[in-house]
Amino acid sequence: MPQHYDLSRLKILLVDDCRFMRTVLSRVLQMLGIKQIEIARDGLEAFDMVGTFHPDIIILDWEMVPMNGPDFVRRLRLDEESPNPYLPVIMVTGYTERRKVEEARDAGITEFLAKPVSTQGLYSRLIAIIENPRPFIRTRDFFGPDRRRVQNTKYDGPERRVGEEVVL
Amino acid sequence: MKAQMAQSGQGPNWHQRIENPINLKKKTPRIAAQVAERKLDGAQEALATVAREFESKLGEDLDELERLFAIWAVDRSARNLTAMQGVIHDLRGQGKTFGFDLITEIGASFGRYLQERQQDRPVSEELVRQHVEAIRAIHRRDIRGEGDRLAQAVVAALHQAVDRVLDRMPG
Repeated sequence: MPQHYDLSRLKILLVDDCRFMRTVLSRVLQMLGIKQIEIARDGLEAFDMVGTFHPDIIILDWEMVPMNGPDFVRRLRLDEESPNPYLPVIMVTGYTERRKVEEARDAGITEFLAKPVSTQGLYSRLIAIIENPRPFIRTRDFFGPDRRRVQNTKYDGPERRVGEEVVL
Repeated sequence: MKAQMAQSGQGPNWHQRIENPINLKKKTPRIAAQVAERKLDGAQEALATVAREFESKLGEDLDELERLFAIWAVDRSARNLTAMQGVIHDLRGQGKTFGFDLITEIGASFGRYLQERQQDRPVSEELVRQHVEAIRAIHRRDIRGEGDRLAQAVVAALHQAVDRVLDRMPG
């Protein structure tokens, strides 16, 4: 049974170039109890604001210029100057094609929310981030939240990760 | 910090597993389900209010789309196409959220055409016009949800037209 949390102390950075969608998401977030919401209009602006506003969660659109959503996430995760490469990111987009979902996942998003936006859909993504902070995986070409949500310990195929526990 | 390392640092399966250092539970004390449900109801009501605002805004967006289409029809620059694409992309994202599912469908069809077309071929003015006019018709006739059979047939015809132009089916 899912738990419920007081979201009032969370800081959300909303990144969307569409003013109307910013209004929609802001109002829903406010009604969910979130008081600190800042706006960025594209990925470049958002990257700067991560370092100044210090959000807890980013809610991100896909299509923006000059820097779109996936490019922003890759920079957030991989750039040596990134203020917080572990920051949770919820991608909210009208794209629902499988390859788009995979592209967003491979860029390093934390949660994916397909439009139409629903209050329950947004709330459940926020709760998932609070409740189940996923471990991060670094490979030669990826850094981001573990893309395997279901642990299959019986899988023994060629793509299986092999490893041992160490302490960093 | 606990991590899981691959046994070999050289192999193609090399990876590092890092415990997530962000723990938002510290900032978010638990609340009762009834309190959360009241907040969700309030959020739902806010969404309904914005939906009413969307209806008046939609007409303005369509005026803008038709203006941009007229500009692009005269000057087929990439910049003019991108401007039009931006309006349709926004309509696609907003339509279904506010009950105009077929606007989202038509926007998806338009987006698929622009993304998958051969870039060395000119953009079909006729196909773009059909998409713009179909969105306007959905709004003018106030067609909500999945619409009637006629509206669905129009959207299906647009998808087929895109398939034909993309050489996915015989013309």
